[in-house]
Amino acid sequence: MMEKFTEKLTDAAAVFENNKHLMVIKNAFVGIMGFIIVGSFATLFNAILCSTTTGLARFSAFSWLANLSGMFSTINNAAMNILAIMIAVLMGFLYGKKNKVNEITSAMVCLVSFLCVSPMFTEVKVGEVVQTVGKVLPFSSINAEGLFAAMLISILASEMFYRLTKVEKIKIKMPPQVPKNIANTFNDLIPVALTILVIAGVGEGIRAVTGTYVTNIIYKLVQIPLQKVITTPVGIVVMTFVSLLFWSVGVHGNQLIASVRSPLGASALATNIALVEAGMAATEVYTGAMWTVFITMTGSGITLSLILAILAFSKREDYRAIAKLGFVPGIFGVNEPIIFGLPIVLNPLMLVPFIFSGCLAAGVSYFAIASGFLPCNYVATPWGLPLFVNAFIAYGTWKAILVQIIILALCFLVYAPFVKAANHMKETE
Amino acid sequence: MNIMLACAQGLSTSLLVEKMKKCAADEGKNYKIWAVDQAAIEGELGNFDVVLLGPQVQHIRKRVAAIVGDAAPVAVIKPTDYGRMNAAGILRQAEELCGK
Repeated sequence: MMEKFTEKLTDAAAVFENNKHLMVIKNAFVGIMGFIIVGSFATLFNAILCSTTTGLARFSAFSWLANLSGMFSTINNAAMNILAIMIAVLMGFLYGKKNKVNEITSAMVCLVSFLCVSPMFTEVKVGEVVQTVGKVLPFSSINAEGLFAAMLISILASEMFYRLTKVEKIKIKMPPQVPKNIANTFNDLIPVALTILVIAGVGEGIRAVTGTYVTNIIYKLVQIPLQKVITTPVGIVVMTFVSLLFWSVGVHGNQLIASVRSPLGASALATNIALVEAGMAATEVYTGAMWTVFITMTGSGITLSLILAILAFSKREDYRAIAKLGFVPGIFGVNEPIIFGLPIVLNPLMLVPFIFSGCLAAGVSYFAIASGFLPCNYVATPWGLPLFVNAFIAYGTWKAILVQIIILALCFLVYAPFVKAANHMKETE
Repeated sequence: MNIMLACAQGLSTSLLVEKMKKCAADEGKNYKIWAVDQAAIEGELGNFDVVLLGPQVQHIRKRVAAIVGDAAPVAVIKPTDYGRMNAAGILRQAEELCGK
């Protein structure tokens, strides 16, 4: 039975992992992570250094810090408000690599196609009159609001471009004396033109009929509903459960669901940053940091609690040895030693508390944030920061550390009876 | 012998790499051992004599085997060896795969 279960889940994982689109989305978000961190830290510095109400600048000795506020806002705008552009370009590039066509052309096709269906005007209120200003690219077209549109258009554009480059009939024949690079540029030209023409044409058609831009339709009909569903407490717990289910057969579940998790986390973070920059409180509970700081703290399944439970209660030498080996990596969120060494993988006894602990952490942290005990996160934190430090940086308050301690303690109680039960089982190799 | 390890981010495996290097040195063997992210395997073609995958990416074995082809054997590290950082055991596994 267990074997069948394992086989089915690893097959499912392979389908996920071998899916070109999911892989490209996942890797594109890995690519922008650093810039999200920089952008969010710019906002953080603004709040803790330059702000004359919350920052160091409120003390007269540091009032000069307020002058830096403009620079930090610019950095934040430059990084966070062009997320959709970054994603379109990166996805196009990664598709180009995967499809073995010119990566740069592929990246540019995605970017231009995406912009072709985005609004290029903005509305400005002058006195009581709303004026439309044309020939501008407003942030709302290219920031997190355009994220899913950029993803979907990039999938379409790169696939179309790739398939058209394979059509011999539309290739421009150059004499053999022409250098290969020049010939390639010309060969890409017709597929580029056709792709952009079709996407812009369909986009214009949809706009003519509905009166709305394609990117706005995708935002309202795909991005917002998806965000609403997945970032409910049930949605977050289900996401955690799926990730842990894959871990239970030894597959890196966290990475597997990254193609769903990352876009939602990034767009929620962008919303929170925009609110904080505007002097308001952040509102989105689920962000990428919530996932790293609480739901998968010390590694998926809150395995540091298991390690502590073993050190407290286990009479088994093999368990204690693994717990000691896994302790320090666990502080930094690496738990492969304990997952595979104990093992938790395919170990019916340990899988129950493992999956339950992760879901519990998701529930507790959701409650802590939604209830207002913790503020919503607007600082992106890199994975691999030590326990407690990551919570403090992400949430800016000692209360976040307290929540981590509460989760650790609760999960300790969850693991403890199973560790004691393992005392009665024979050591197995 | 050139042994390349691959896992989800190349992070947890890099812990193991250090142990394996030390173990190989202790045994007086001149092996090159390093870890990469699984996405980087293709770019390393020709550099390795054997690829060992972390058990957390066992599901990509078939795809990696297809990429590597006949160039080198591809195998998944035994989960318990991986978790317990049994460097010597994993070195034996690599040696066996290469027929040494």
